[in-house]
Amino acid sequence: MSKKWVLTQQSFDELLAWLDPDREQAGRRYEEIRLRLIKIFTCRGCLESEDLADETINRVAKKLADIRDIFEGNRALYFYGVANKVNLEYLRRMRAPLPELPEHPPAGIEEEYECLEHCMERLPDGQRELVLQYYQEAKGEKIAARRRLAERLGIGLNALRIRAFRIRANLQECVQDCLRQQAA
Amino acid sequence: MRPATEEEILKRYLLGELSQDEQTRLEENLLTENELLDELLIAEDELIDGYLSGALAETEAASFESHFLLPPERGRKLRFARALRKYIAADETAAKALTDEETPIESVDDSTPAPGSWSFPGFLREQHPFVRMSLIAAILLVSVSLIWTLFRSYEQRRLKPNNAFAVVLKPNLSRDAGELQRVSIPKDADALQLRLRLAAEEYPSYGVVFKTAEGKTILVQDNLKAETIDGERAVVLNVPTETIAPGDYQLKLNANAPGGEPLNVGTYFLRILSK
Repeated sequence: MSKKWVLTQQSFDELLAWLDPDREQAGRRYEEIRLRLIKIFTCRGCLESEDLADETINRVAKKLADIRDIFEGNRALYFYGVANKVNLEYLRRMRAPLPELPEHPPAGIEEEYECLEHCMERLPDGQRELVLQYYQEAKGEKIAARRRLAERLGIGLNALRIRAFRIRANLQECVQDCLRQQAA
Repeated sequence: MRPATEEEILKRYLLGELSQDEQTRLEENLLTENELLDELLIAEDELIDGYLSGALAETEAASFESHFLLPPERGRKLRFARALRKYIAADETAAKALTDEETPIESVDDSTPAPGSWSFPGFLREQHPFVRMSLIAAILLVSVSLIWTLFRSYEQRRLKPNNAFAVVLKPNLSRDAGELQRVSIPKDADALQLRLRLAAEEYPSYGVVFKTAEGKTILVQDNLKAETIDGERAVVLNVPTETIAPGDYQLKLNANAPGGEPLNVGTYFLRILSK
């Protein structure tokens, strides 16, 4: 994708200032918006979500002088409007390829498994046990087992769900780092 | 937990099955609501798990394959989820194998005892049912009392040993030979009392995992409280000497923070030279 307009430091600073007068808050807000834009493009099936999110941000920064004094409302929704245009252009340009079905039988996951073993060993014991118990595959008993686990930990079912998700996300990041190191 | 309808909407969104209006509303909320992104990420994981376990309907599985899996990131998530399922299944199998290792039940021999021989089951069968039940109840009571007495005796030795050998450990010593705490346990000591000095911040309670250097767990204790010993704050763990042999060991001290995950607050190393 060609980027004809480049985001300079000055335009980036102005964008942050538009998001929030406090620079730290503005930085957080910027990251939140960027992350959500990437997720939206991903959920729409785009193959270059990060590039599209950056393109969206670049266009907003470019238009800032025109909108800064007249735009009212949640700044994030302006990004959303621009993202829709970027998405349409992407679809016209790419003419989305036919989706590839996952391989059956699936390609070997030996490397992921090896990395996962390594990452599980590095988990604190409590987190490791939580993951093992939360994701056990006792059909028909999964909900009851999770309820018991939540009671044992003294937390609600939804808090357990979020806790398991965060540990899983950390594990996945660990595995991806491990795979990158192996590939290097 | 959010209403089931919102979970259903997130699932349909991930499968590309929402109408344009529904999609726009959800995406606008995604940009403005903090919690929704986390809910969406959790829904992704749960959708992947549902696909792998065969829980998705046929049309859902088709959308999963044709839409959800398009971006490369999703393929990576799917592979990770497969590896996680395999790992957990292997762990369950190993755990089940341990619990299934029990003495085979010997078949009850109902045949008539050989002449001149006496068998206790036979003796029981000959008694009046009331007498039989009373005898069995008495045997059970004696067995339970004996087991309880042995358990209490072990616990008392472990928790309040008669003759404990105390060792003070400081956190996060490296395992370099020059800095490893080396210990020779007196032969008459029935327990090794490990006093784990606390680094700084204190918590309501702690858990300790005592392992060999190779990772084999020797002892796990939870709900330990910090104590003041010789003017220093420490968590105390009593380990029966019969459970440890010369070698290298490590202890992980985890703090039970209220409402949070156990937090590792210190690692301690020692080398048992002799007993």
